[in-house]
Amino acid sequence: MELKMIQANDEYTHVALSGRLDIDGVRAVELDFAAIVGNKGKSAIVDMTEVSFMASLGMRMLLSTAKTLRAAGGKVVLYNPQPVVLEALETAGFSAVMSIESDFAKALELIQSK
Amino acid sequence: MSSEKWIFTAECSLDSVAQGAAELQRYAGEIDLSSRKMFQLDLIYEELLTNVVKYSYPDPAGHTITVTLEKQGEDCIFEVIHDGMDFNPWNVESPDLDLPLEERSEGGLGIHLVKQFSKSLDYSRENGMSIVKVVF
Repeated sequence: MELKMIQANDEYTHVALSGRLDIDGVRAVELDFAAIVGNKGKSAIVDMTEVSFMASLGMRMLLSTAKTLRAAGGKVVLYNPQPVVLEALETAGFSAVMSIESDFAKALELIQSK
Repeated sequence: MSSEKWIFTAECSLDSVAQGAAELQRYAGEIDLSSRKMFQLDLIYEELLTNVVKYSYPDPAGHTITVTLEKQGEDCIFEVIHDGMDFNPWNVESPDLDLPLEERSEGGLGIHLVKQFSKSLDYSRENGMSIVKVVF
């Protein structure tokens, strides 16, 4: 499991997760994810394209960071999850609490809208 | 192609559960599961085993959990057998998914996901052993 920083500017943080967000995967990235995405207080685009598996531990990591950002006035947009990962996220009710977008320009618009 | 039942015994620890996941994926590759079934299997395995490790024993040291997987036609039958608490996970209420982000619980999603990704669920207690069964 890898967490890559794609871009960080004054407006937002853009990171990409890749691999399996399972027990070992979450252990490998959760501290960095919270530090890089959560602690800056800026909105974030999380590229999910390369995430092949995700269970509730991974969802907990995303929810926790999204809550931290919400408290600081920011938001998380999940970009381009694979169909079965998207199905799991929707089953867990994520669409109601954070945006999930497969078009990058729209993801960026969502981040920039207040 | 293998058609026998896969049986794995995990120590009651998250490390051992993670190790078992890798072996399960190897076996699932041999029995030719679709990518969606592979995802379901991974999810059901991780959620149920994590649940047993975290909540079924006051002291998990020295206990083991047996996991079996059998393919019958299009269905997969997955069982978790342990000697921990007599607790039916299917009685756990699903979290309220309509709450706003600020009020959403970060936990409790695992069993909800398993329920939604399965065809049928069963729980029994026999001779001091809990048997948690999922068909998907």
